[in-house]
Amino acid sequence: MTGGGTATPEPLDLSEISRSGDLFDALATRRVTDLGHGSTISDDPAARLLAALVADVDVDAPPLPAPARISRAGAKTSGRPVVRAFVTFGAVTVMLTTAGAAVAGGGGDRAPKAHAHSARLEVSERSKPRLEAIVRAFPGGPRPQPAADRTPEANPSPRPSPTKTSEAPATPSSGPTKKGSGLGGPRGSRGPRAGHSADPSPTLSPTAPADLSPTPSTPSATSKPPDETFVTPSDRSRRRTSARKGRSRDAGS
Amino acid sequence: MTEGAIAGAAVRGAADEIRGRRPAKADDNELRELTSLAVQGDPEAVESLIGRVRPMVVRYCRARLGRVSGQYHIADDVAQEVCIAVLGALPRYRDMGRPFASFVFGIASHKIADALRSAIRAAVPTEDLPDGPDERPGPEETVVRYIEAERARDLLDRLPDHQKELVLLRVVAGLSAEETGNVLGMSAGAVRVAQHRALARLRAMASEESIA
Repeated sequence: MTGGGTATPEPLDLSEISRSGDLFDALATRRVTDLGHGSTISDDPAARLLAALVADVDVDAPPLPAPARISRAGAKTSGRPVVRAFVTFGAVTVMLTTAGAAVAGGGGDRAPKAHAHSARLEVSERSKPRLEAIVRAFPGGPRPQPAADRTPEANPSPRPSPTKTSEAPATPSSGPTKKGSGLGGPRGSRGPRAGHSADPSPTLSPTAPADLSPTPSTPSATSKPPDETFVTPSDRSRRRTSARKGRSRDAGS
Repeated sequence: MTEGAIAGAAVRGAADEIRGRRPAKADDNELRELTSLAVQGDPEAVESLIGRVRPMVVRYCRARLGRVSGQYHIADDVAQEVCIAVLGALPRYRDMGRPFASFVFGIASHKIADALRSAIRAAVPTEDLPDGPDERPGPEETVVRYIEAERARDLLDRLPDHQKELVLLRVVAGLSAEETGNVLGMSAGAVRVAQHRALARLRAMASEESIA
């Protein structure tokens, strides 16, 4: 602030500068009675003299073109927030609409894939030893006899409705698909492959890790009761094992 | 020295008048466009431009020249000469990036200097006696205002030239800090600091006078 031999300027007080600016604005806009900060002209001799000068030069003078400047200041305070509010509202609306459309349209595709991926990991890494142990512990489980054959016409399951099984070969997936509200059921039920696929294997692949089962019979999940919502990999393996043993018994007889 | 911001603010409104828009929507481009129209000889643009500039020029000249024999006739005459000079110089005006107000106040300052040098003391014309009631302030109030205005001029004359010019443009001509900065070649922040210092100096001088 100080330079060489020049006199040291007084330190600047921002509040005082702001107050002086308010005073000058009031005088410039001829709002002499409203000087701001609760001050009046009589408190400040300099302001009183400047106001007297302003009043003196305004006598019989054409009016100042103040509206342009005043309205410009007003536009800063009143017009821009309105514009900002509109822009903000539009942006939020677009964001919400986009997010909603993404959830409604893309969520069905993403969720089954994610679930399928996690299910595959779960089965491949954790469940194999347990699966084998369960198979050993329950050689002939009390599970209902699943559809030994993958086609419901050959051996329809007692639990699912026969009408559904006769309509489509992918009956097992249609059970949870039509229920759709179970925690485990919706896996793949909203997927694009679940609804129209005549081949049961791609339909079941997201939900049941059939490709990792001991037998290549991917539609083994057809034995899953329609009211069963929580199906663990161990349950599936038990069913597959029992189904395999049932088939072997049928073949032996 | 002083050129333009008065015209800046003034011309903004004129541009809106020409285009039928609100003065609040005036911006620098419109001002520039109005000035260019006036330079090209558009009578409507010229009228709007002068109509916006003249009130500020009148006040500026009054504040600088003061009353002569209790009247502002000299200052008003000088203001009129300024407007005529602006009209005469308008075809030669070239936009060099500075606001048109700089051009106008430059002419005004020269005209005021000429008037001060010539020290005209012409005969003061008197008004006709009014037939109806006079609603203007009474004699006592007029005298008090006159004395205080003269005191203000005396104090302003004791300020440095740039501070005096700044206060006149800011208070008397009614320019904003930004417009005053455009005229004086300063930033708005520098104008605010300078006006604060000028006001502090005016307060100090006024206090000294009152004590004395």
